Amino acid sequence: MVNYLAATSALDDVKHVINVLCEPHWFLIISVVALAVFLLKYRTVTKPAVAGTIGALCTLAFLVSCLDSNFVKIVTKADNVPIVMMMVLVGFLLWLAFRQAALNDERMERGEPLREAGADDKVLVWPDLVYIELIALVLCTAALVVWAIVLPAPLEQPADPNVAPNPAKAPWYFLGLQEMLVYFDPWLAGVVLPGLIIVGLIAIPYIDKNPRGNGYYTFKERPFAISTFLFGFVILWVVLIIFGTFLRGPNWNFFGPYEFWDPHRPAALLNTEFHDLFWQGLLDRRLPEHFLIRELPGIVLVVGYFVVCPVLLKATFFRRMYLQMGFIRYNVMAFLLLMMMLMPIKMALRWMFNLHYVVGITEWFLNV
Amino acid sequence: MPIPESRLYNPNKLNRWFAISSVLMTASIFWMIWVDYDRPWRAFQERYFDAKAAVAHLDYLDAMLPEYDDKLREAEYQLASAEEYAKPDAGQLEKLEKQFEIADLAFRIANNKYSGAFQELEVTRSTYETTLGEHGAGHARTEAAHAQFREEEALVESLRKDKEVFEDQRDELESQIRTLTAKVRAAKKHVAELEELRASALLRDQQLRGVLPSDDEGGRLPLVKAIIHAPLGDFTAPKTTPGRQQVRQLVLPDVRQQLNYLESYTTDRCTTCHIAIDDPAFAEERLASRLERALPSINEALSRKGRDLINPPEPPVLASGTRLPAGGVSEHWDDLAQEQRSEYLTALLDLVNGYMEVCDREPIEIGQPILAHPDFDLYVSIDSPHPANKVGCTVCHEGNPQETDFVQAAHSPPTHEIEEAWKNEYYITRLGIPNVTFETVAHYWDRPMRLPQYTEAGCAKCHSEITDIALFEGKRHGGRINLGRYLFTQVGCINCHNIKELAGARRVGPDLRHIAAKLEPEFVQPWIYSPQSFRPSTRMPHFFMQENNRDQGANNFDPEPVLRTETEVAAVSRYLFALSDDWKPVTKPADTVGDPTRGRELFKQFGCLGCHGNIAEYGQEWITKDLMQREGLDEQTAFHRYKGMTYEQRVQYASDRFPTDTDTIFDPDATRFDPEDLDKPPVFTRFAPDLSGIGSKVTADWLYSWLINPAHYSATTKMPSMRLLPSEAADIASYLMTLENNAFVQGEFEMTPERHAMAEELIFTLLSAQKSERRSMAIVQDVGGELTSMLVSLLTRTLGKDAAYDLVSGMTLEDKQLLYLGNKTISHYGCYACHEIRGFEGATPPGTDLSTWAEKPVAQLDFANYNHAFHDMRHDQPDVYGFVYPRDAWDLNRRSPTPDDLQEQITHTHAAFAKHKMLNPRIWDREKLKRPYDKLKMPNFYFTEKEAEALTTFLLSRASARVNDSLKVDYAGSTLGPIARGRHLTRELNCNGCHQLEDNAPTIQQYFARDVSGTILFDEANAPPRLWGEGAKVQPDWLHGFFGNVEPLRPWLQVRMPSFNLTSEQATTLVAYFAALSQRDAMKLNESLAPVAEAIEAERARGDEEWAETWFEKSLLADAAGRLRWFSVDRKLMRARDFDVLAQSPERVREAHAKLLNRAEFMQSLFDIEYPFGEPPLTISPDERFERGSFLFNDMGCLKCHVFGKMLEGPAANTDQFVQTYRLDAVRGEGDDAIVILNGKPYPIGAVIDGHTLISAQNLRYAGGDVETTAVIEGPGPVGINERVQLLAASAPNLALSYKRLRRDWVQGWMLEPALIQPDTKMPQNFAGGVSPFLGDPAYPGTSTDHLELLADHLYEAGAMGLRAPLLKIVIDDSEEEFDEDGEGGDDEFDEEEEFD
Repeated sequence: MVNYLAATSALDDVKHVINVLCEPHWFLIISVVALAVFLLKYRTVTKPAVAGTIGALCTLAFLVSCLDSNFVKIVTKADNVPIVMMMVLVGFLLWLAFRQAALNDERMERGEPLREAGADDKVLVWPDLVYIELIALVLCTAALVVWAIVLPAPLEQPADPNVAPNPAKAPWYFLGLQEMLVYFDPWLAGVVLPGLIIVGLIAIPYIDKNPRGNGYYTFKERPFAISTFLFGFVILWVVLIIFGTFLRGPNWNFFGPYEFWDPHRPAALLNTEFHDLFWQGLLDRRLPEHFLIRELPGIVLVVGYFVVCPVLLKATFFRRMYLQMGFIRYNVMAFLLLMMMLMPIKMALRWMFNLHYVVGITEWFLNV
Repeated sequence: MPIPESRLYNPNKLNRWFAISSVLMTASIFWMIWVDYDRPWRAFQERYFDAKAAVAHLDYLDAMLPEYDDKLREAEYQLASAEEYAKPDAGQLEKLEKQFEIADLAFRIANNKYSGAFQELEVTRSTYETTLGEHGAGHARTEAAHAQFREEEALVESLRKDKEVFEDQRDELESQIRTLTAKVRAAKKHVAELEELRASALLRDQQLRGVLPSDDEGGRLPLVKAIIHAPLGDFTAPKTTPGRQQVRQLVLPDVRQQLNYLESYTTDRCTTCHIAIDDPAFAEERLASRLERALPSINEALSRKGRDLINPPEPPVLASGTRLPAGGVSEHWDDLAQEQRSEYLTALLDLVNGYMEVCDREPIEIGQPILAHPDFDLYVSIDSPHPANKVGCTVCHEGNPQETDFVQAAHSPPTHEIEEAWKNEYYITRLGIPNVTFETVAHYWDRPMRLPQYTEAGCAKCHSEITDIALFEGKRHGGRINLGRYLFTQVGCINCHNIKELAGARRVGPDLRHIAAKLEPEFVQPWIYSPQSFRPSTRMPHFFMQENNRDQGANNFDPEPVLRTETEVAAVSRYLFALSDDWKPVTKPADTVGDPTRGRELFKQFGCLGCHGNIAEYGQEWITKDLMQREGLDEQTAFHRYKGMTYEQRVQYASDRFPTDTDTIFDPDATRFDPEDLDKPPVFTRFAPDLSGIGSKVTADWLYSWLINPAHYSATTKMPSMRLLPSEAADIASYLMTLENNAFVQGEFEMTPERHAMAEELIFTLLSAQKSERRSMAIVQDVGGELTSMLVSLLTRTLGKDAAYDLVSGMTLEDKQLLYLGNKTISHYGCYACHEIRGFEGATPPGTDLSTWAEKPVAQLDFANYNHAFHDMRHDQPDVYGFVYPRDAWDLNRRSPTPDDLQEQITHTHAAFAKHKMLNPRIWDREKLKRPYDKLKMPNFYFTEKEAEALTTFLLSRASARVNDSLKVDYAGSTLGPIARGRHLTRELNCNGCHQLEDNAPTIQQYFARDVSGTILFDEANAPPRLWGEGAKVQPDWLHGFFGNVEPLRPWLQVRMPSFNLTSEQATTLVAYFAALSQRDAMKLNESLAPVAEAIEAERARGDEEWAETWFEKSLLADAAGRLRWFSVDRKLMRARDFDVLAQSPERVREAHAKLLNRAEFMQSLFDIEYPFGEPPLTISPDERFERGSFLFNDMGCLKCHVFGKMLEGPAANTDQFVQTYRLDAVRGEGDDAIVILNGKPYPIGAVIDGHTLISAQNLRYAGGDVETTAVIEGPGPVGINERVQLLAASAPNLALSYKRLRRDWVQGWMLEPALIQPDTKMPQNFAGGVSPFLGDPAYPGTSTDHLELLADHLYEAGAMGLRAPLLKIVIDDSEEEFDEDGEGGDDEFDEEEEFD
């Protein structure tokens, strides 16, 4: 057997390793670890020299990767270029914020005034604000024009409703939602979770009445809030967009960045229901007839998750927070947090146990 | 409010930022405008308009020639002289004009009065009608209104009469004036035209170059051009401005595309770059002619400028050796080879461009995309059948219709060399990076432009039957898709792969239900395993020893593919023989012993070779000759080479190098027997099996039975009955049994322990796919009779439960296992799709439905590991991916004449997928790990590249048509339907193998070459007849009946019309086909003849006899003349050289065209028949006229060649009766071994028939090529004394059949012009020049036409009455001088006979 990818150069071995590391579970784990390291070591990491080196290494890796035709095909696709830019932008803005936070935190430790202290942040609407907006407008227009010239949209063949493109992808900003559809029933992934994202974002000011960190950059004073937000944004939003853009290929299969998008490549897609694991695997009994009994373990698990976890957390990690927030605020926060954590939990369950649904009441289209 | 002093932002800094950003935005917008403006097509359009301007300039130069001035002066002079001539009539004219004015005035006044009164009358009428409605008739008011109406009506009537009087007067005067001034007016018009032409050429030139019209040649106004061509300025010029650069598009309402559940019209923008595609001036021929014509004017202009003059380019020499006249080459454009054409055109362009340079003008640059469509008269042209404004471009070429960029329009590079070349030229790069490449386009566009070899796939959109595409004005079209369609049904693709348009096709393989009676297992097994080892030309494809199941194709899941497939073959064979039912061959009469020598003769004579090849018989002649020609060997060496070949190599040689039966249909000129080109390779037909090894294959009894009645063995076979007598069948069978192929190793695959284990494993694999391992194991070993009961249930439907049980239960375990494996193997490979196999009745075909294959998304085609464009793969791993067959597969390559390394890229397109699948059906399994029953199983037909491309073209056409009905061919309402269906059927039955139906070259023709006094000619008289005009010749009812019951019409012919097993519908299809062919010819002729006749008549009426005689030179009729000439040459009505202006004097050419018109009109009226209407009923009246007819019939000498009426019933008591009872049909062989065919039955010399002894028989061959067949019998004469009588074979059909067989009109036409209707016929032209030889004879009053009718009437009436004309009895007495009883001076012939004696 001669495989196209198994050619002999050393670079190919590296490519192979990267391809493997880009499998979703590794990718997610690496992202989470990277985020954790970043948050823990933010002062070191955001030093210009370190951050510059990391940035330079990433750029180098990107450029070297561009020697690979499959990689180039994916990243230079006109639709995908903005996502490449978004990755750069997210990295830069993270650095910018955390660099300032790091400096402020150091100042606070040293008892010096904050960087933002004494700054008069009042700006005149006219001429300053309007003028700057005008300039921004002009620059954006110019940039869009140049973009349209340099990366023209390809003229595709007439859409045929009988033939869906393969892969059929949502617009880039919905790719995270589309990724959720892989793990959740549509009513959750398409309705409840997106709704909760919006509701949750609206609710933040009412939940979080902590005045610290207002108007200045800091991480040390708000570790939980910022970490939670970054987990939700970077891991559960940006990383999923990257999945959807660069790694999801034909038939919505995962492909490494250096792999050819072969529509005929098979994928092992096995689904196991929780009730099978419980009744047949654990108890070695046949499934109960009635679906409510059948799904009871799953329901218990889900309800338990939402009931037990807040209580447990209240007693352990969040004891101080509970006292500060009070019963209602705390429970709303805990609910939103748990809802958010559903996503990584479900992903892990899928990858580890091929778990399809925890509660699978297909009779009612009520699957979790 | 005071403005705070401290500001966060520095206004100057903001100003600077604003300035920078403004500049950036302005720059980006200008860039945008430029990018939008800077399109590649502008350059092409500029080139085109420059060329147009240059041509206009040449027109202008023409107009500046002294000759043109002369012409103008001549015209002016004529005007002056006309005026002068008109002077004497000036007084008259003046008078007339005055009268005219008076009459005109009077008319106007009268007309005014009339018009006014008429309008009032209308009002009154309305009033009257209203009153009538309100008050009813009889009311006073109504009466009053009516009265008023009547009164006014009378007034109007009288006014109208007044008016008309003046009107007539006026018109009369006007026409008188016109007559008087006609010459002057015509002369004035001529002068004006000439002046206009000169001015307009200059104007066109100036406009196209953007120069102001009023300006003279030198003085450009660059501003105008600059504005109308500037970015954002170009919209200011009106759309019709000459030379305006703009996106051009064809909006095609009838060509549809699918858009979200609705269809929309297509817009093709191809003409934006291919701007000259519909400009006839840019068709090569016309361009050459235009440039050629310009040379003198250029010289004139050059001499005005004081420059050196130029000479016309060196004229090319034709293949025939003729040198064309310098400067007159374009008139013979069709005779030039493609290279000569482009060479000559380039030379012309160089000359003209040299002049352009002198004038400081842009040179004319011709070449893609500035060219008219190469088939301009068939496509694009507004008068063509496919005008561009109706069908557009992408309907056939595909690609992205709306793009105007080369790459995005989805042009397809055929090879990667070309792709490399195109990359540099066409990729869209921004900032130096290519961002629109062929790969990106392929990604977004599933259907890139078709490579030229597949364009014909588009034909099927409108020509859904495909077979109706054939000839257009002498050029053959649609050969590829037709061949594809033909092969698809003929080699059996259709049996496995359904295509709904072809539903109902027959199974192509032989019936295997009684195989045991025909073949031995020792033969069957190696044959199935490798059919070509036995017969390299066979159509039976190879399933085994292919890329994925030979040793090298082994993998973990299929470690021993060869052992596996051998076991499968053994199982299939066991199954077939186990289920073969009892079948008794037709028994041979005990006394018949076949004679191989005679059989060999009969095999050649009866026409078996029309369908079957026979290398054993002809191999030596063919291959030796071919070797001599191809490799320049001398005869001796070639013969030795031939001798050194094995049998297999010989057949291999023939199938690789010689054209086949498909070529006789789709490329007939290359295979047609041609006395002038005897070096043409022979046709090695693959229509039916090559019989040169048949003796090693079948059993003798089966062969005899098959020959006698093929349907007895297989009811659905295509093999027709040749109506052989038992002795003939025995002879042929014994001959065929001598044709052996001993190189083919026969023998079964013994069931060794390995094979047995393999069989068990395979059964286990098959079972365990559905059952558990334990159960599968049990079934394999037939534990508890499970295998038995499975087998019984498998066979119950075919055999019935009891018989199935009886069959199976008596078997050993091994047999049961093999039976099961055989059944499953047949099912897996789909053998039952092509062959009738018991146990598979009604099984569904195994292949994918291909009805809409071309619509399948490309992503659904599995290109195996060919992930990238082919050249990447080939570059990285040439040994694996660089070849159609893997490098080490010498045995696969050997069988396929395909080049091992194809230039064409494997792109991810339908075409590449299909073509490579066709060349190597297992290629898409390459480097894949698959289980035995997952592997690709399509068998290998070893198609040639041409065949593969043809099939691919056909497959590419399998998609929804997406064109409106208005574009589709109307099969129901035109002759095309019956013709298309007829072509399907005749191709399936191989009528083409023997008859020339249209322009095909029958395979059998090559065996009818005859040496006549040192010249090889085609033996037309003894070959199967050509069927041109058959529809106009025969009556439909008779023809229909004839197919069901073939009777020999020409008993002297040795070759036989077979009896096909046709259904009534099929016979009707054929009858309709022949009728439609005639009707179509009549219609086509009429299309050409009608305008010619009309124009000639009009000119004759004007007294222009000269014009009428040289009609064919007029540009108006050039097309019609060309078509008529082509038809006449094609149908052998005329010879091409009759029209050759180079070889013939103008008078001869004129005569030839006059003849052409006559003959074409004759054929037109002959072919113009009514179908399905037959002949009117006959009124039979044996009166005086009938008598006269019979005399004329005799006097005409019809019975010299024809016979009339049936032979009498035997037995014959004496020689008188013998002559009337036994018709001599033919004599086969010579001397004492000769066989005499009497009434269709063979008798040897010396046979005694009804007491008469056959003494001798012979075929006398005369120097002219005629053959006279005679036999001599001896028997009792009428007076009881023995006498010898000579029997003469008829050489023309029995006329007694004519009344029901032939159409009356045709019979009359045939008597008038037999040679036109059937070239090379032996029928003499009795009515030479249309004049009866008995015209003026008092016995036969009336005109020649009356005589014709008299003869025809007599023929029909006598035939219908069942009369017979007694045959002549020729008694041979000792003096041997009284033979000449017919008194017609046959002395010479019989003198010769003496010599032969």
